Amino acid sequence: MSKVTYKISLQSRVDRIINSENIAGYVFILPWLVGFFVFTLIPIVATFYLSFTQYDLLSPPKFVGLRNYIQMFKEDPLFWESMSVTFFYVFVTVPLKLAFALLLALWLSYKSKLTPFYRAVYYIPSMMGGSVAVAVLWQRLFTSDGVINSILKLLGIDSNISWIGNPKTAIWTLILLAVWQFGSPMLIFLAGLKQIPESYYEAAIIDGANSWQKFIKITLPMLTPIIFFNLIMQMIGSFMTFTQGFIITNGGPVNSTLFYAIYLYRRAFQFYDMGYSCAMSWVMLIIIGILTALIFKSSTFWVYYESKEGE
Amino acid sequence: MKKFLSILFAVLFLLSCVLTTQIKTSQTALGSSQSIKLRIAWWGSQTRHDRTQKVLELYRAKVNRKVSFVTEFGSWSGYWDKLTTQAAAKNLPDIIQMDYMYLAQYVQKGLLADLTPHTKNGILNLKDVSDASIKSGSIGGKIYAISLGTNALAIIYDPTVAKKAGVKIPEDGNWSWNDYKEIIKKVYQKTKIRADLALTADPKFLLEYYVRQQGKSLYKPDGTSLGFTQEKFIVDVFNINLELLKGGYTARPDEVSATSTIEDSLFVKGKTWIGWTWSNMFVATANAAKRPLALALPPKGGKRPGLYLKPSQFFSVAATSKYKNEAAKVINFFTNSVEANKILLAERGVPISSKVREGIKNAVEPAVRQTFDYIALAEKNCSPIDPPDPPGGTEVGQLFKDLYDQVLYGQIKPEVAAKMFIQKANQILMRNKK
Repeated sequence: MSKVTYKISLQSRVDRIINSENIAGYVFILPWLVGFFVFTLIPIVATFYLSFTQYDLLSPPKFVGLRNYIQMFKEDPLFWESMSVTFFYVFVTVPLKLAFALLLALWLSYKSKLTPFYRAVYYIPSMMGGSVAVAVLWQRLFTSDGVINSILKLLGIDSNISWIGNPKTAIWTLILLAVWQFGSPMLIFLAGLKQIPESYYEAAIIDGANSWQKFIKITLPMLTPIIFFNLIMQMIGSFMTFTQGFIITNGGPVNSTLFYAIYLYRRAFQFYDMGYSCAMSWVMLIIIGILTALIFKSSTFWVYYESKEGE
Repeated sequence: MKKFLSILFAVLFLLSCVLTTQIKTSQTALGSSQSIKLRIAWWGSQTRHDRTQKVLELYRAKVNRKVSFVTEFGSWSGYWDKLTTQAAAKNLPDIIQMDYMYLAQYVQKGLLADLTPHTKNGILNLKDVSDASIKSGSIGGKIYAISLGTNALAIIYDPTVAKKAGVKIPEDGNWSWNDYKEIIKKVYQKTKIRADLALTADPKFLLEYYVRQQGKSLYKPDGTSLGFTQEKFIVDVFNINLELLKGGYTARPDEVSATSTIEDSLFVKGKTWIGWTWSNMFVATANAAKRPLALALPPKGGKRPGLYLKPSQFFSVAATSKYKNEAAKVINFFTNSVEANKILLAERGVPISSKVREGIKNAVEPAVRQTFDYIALAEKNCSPIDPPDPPGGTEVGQLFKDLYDQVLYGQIKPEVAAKMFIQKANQILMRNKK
């Protein structure tokens, strides 16, 4: 008798385990979990430890306490230079890119036969992303005998400067490259525009609003959650910019495009200073964390959620 | 039932993932029992990639069919970044192209195999190689690297332009720094063709050359500080180039910094007519330029020749390699096979084996023969090479490049840059002291 109950309860337990939704879920996300732990979480923890060591990659790390951090803040002008280059880049690129993406999204939201075509065309640059091929292409465009100067010549402007070789203009060619790749925020904006109920605009028209008023009073407020999302994603991405600067200018000329990530990479793999670059990556993590938190805090003042209306 | 199915699918999916990797590994295991896969890595130009691949094919055809090669090649900067990572992961290629600058560091960390036993048992034959060549790849009496060729700093120029302007470059090096500047100015005035900016990719070598002329060396032998304290040396080097640049006689730094390959360089495109190079780059440059070019010794001045003969680069074997014998055989092929060197044609520098030099003398194209002659000339006009770079050397080189750029772009005065360089370079070297 007791044997039978035992059997039943065991079977039901097995059944319960197999049929549990949680288990199915975990099994499905297992590949992602493994990836997350092996390629993200463990390296992050390791970096944290290594940031307190002197580690030249070839021999075992040596614990040095806060020395890397102290050296970074007190003795390393290149650290500050790379920081200011990166901040400048982020604060120029992100607003420009978002404005441009929004503008084109607005234009592409009008119904026309060609709209799908345009949407695809404008998205293509983003698909190529931070690829090396695009970077090389960019390099060719902006050299002293590049396409840009040829076009300027056709327009009657005889320009001989090498846009990527001049410390004053080099960063702007990289900013232009980033703004050109506006496709993914544009697509998200497009989706957001589709969400705005048509009836709002109809009501506005009846009230006699012009298109500028419609944009300011309806479109923009309704889009704030999308802007919020795009802002955070683009900011984080821009802080970590590497490929473009590495391939096109390699941080030069005269360190005018020395992105934080390039300097970090240089310290790690060219100067064999892995401990220092781990410390640098933690500083960046903290900066991005703080900025993200600030944007989140500020969002209560400017992001509008429809669902809150009923509260 | 649905839930059960979903779990079943998930498990099957995972299983298939595991299985495919299993099949892959078993395939490689099967392959390795029949043949040997040697990984070989080098940096260089397109010419080098093509020729090295051909030699490896020849090796397979003539010497050992069982060996197959996995080649990894790229440009100078990317190469070392990658190699460091591989070293950290204990995953170095079996055969590594090594540079004088990094040799000491790699040996110190125990990353390279001692090749002395292979030279003794005859796998690696160094009978026809000079002692100086063997020594350049030895540390502490053990051979860690086999030089692939001899190399020296050189002036490269376009004789057609010089002729058109009516100037003669003293190829034997009997010219002063002043003559150097005057010739460049004269040619520009007559032909409107400018000179290259000297060694912008790694201007440290220009400083090294100048400092050696003054009887000093770039680093102290123990590597804890610079080998000189005179700011004047640095200011001189800056000023020579600044004077030419300001007068419009050389290419501008913004033009130069936008080019990264030999094929792309202003010199190859015919926009400049004279520049600095390493003699082993001459063949690649001449091939890319497709016009006759010439080599000359750099300007003299100071107490002694600044020039030195440098092993252009080495082949080393990784300490972790499973096939050290096989790797040594391949290096031997590069060193001693006349047939292989008829393909390589001294692209890596003048071969170290006297037999090979003799054997390919008639086979080589004129450009290669020019480098042979140049090295013979340099041999008579040089002083001994300094010890390899100390730890921190790369950072010091980058520091000098940064300051050199700032001077060329007119952002700081040479005197200020010189003071900063000495102070910061010593700081870096001290910090790297073990």
